[in-house]
Amino acid sequence: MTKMTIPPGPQHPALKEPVNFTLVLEGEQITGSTVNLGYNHRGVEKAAESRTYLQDIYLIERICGICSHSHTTCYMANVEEIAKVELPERAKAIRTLVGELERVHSHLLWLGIAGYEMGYETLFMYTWRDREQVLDCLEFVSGNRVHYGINTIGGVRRDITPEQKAEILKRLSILEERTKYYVKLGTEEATVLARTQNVGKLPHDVAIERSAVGPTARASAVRRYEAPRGEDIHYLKANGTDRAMVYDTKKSKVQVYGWDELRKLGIEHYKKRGVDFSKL
Amino acid sequence: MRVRTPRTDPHLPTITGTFPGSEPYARELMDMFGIKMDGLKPGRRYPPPDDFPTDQYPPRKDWKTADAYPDEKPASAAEAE
Repeated sequence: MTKMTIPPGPQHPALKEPVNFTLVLEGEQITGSTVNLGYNHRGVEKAAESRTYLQDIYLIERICGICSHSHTTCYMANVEEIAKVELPERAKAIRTLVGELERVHSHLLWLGIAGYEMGYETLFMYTWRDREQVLDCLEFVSGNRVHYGINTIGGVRRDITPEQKAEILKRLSILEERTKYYVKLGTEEATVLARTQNVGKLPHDVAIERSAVGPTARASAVRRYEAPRGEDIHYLKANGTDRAMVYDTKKSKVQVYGWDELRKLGIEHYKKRGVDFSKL
Repeated sequence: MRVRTPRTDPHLPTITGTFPGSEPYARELMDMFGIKMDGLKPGRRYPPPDDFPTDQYPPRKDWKTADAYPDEKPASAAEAE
């Protein structure tokens, strides 16, 4: 059979961001594929170099629309370390609050998209309707739905009033109830199970060879010491506590470590494997 | 991992033999910073586009937009003030 090469992209029909695949087909079987990344390299590093620290906050916020707060929090942690700025406790709390609300909206977003891609559009409609609740919360706090612009050097730009607090708590109780429903749906619903179980498996050895980390690696049953993990360690620097929350899989609970303890644990772990990191 | 290489003739050995996942990072060093990766098998460019000049390395601190695009005026930081 003759081979055929099809290039879907850069405007891919299913993805929201530009990417280009070159697929090699033999009849209806895909026998090879290459990914061409980099269509969206916007040169943010270079643009940030020529701007002031304050202007950079708003530039860096626009790296991503879904995780805009994470990027500025990371940037602020660095700028504040250089400038040796002391943060007020309330500002740290508000940063963490916005970060957590953002996480809720981000998870609801991907759940909806995942439902949409597996042809389960009711799930998409449901989660995006409920996501409005958390976007409302973010709008109360910051005035914006997507690019909150809450971080600034040495603190945050807005405070939270008692009225806002009451409104947010009201919406959070709705969200909690709905999320429990989605957990039930994701683990029991036949459509979700049929579309996700044993589909597109990343083999265990490939996951190790290709240095997969986090949830991707754990889904391929890679069990290894990983620290610090994004979803387990929240806003370390922004919290200003210099402590790390690490989820212990053996005890199934969250342990809180200081940086020195975490470093010791890492060194001990690698010593068992015959690698000496004690001089680092 | 921390390595040093002279600025005048930057060369680094590749670690893709041990960690195949390091290939994109090696390509990024090659295409964005102009560091030659010894032993890296040929492949397509990442992340600059295919028509980007091969002798331009934008993330270097001394690189200015005018080096690649002489007609374009750089935005000044004072503008927004």
